[in-house]
Amino acid sequence: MNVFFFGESSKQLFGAYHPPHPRKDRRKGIVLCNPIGQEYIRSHRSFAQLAEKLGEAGFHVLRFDYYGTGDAYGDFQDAGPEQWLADVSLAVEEIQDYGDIDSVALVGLRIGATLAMMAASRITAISDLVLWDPVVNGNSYLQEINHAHQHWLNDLLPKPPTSTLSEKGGEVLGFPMSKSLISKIRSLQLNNISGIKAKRILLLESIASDDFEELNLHLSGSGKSVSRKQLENATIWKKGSHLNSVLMPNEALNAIINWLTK
Amino acid sequence: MEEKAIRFGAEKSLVGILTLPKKENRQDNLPAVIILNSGLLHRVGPNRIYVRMARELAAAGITVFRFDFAGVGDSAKDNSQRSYEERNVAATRAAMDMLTKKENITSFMMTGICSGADISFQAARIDRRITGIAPIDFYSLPSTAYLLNAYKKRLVTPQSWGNLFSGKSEVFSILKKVFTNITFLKTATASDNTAPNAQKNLEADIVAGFQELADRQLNLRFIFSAGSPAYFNYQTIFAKKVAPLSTARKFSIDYFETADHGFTLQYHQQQLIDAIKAWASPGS
Repeated sequence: MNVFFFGESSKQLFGAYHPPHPRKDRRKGIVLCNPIGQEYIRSHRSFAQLAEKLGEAGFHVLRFDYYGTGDAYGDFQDAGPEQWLADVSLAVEEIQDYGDIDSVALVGLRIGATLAMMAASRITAISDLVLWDPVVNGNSYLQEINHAHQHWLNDLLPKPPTSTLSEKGGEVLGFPMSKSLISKIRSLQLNNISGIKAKRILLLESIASDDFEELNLHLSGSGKSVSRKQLENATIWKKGSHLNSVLMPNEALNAIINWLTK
Repeated sequence: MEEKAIRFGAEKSLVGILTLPKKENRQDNLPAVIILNSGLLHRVGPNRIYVRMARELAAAGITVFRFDFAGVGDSAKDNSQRSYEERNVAATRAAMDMLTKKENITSFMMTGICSGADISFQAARIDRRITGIAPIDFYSLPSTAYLLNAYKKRLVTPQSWGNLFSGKSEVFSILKKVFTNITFLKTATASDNTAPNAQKNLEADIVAGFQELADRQLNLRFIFSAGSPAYFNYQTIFAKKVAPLSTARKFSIDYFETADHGFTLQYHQQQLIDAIKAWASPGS
């Protein structure tokens, strides 16, 4: 594995490149698209493990942190989906250069999956798309994480100062949310995205949601073949009673690897 | 500010991020600060606090390095037979060696939350390049006070007591844990090295270690959050047995009465970062 910063000097992104097993090089890249906020913290270990396993399976793999997240430059509340989408494009170019390859798959979790699908409508090199519990509707997502935040606050002893999320901003599960960031996330709507370039799509579902059914109809309606897989015990981004917990959903990781190596 | 991704240690198996202040802003008289992992969370820390902390310290002219211990984040596993503490203390020393070689820095301060705090304490005991530590929620021993507090909410809700009569209650199991712990502590004797006495021995070791560091005049700042088991060590061990021993010129204790162990709220994050800045850069 090699670690480095890439991108423009004032908005450097952190990257970790996992090379393919030398005897199994498939001449294909994979970019992993993280979730954000507390979900990023919870899934980092799983994504590192997934990247390692995909490298062993013969892929050139790039994990990276979007602007304002993880080790990348910038503050979380100053970033947003437009910036992160540009970062995904940059990461695709980076893995193409790094591995001297053309074809790239995107694997995303939660908002990472949302960004991956949006990127796949713009970048012709994207051959395969893995959408793991994608955020289909930004408004529902905000309500969900705010509900989780309030639930966490209610369970806390001793009681901390009041903390809420409104249209004007606030904080959610350890991360600041500016008015601008809230507005940009709220506008995310995957069922408006068309022109997906990827030939294959895997929809990995670890929660029951009508959103996934609608997304499947939307993608199928535009002529895309979607493989769907329901998994239990893959909600690493929300499971467990403590914030910052780190879990490993082996069943989900194996499902992704098996599908990508088919 | 400039940041670099660095691989270091034996076979370059450890990964960290070096945060450098602007050249014109660099305080060469101040030690570099090394920030240590909190449990299994990678080097960005809980809620990305370590990233903010490193950048605010760099803005004050301090060089900062935050890295992953073996088997955490992006660092490779350590397959040696060394204990958790031995290999992680060795990793902090490898980080110091690397910073001396790359940046010509020869003195260091360390901080970290939870297990990172424990390692900073043990590293400082054996490496004299370390001139200060700021352990955050260090040594979480399962004291009776902690257990009572952890289960307080479930013990005081009417629903919980109602469940007692339907056979679904956790009340008995919670009380059993608390009383087992009280018995455990009463039966332990200092001369006994068996497992039940590990806590007593650890307490004695903390007191001895603290005395060593205070005598060496390290810059010591101990920080406790109310939401951590360590907070009760502060009440039962630290404040009564350890702090009175201090002969250090620079010694302080902070306790954040409403903060949780992960410093989740923005208010608590800034409170923590300000305390660390005051410790690392006395003039800031």
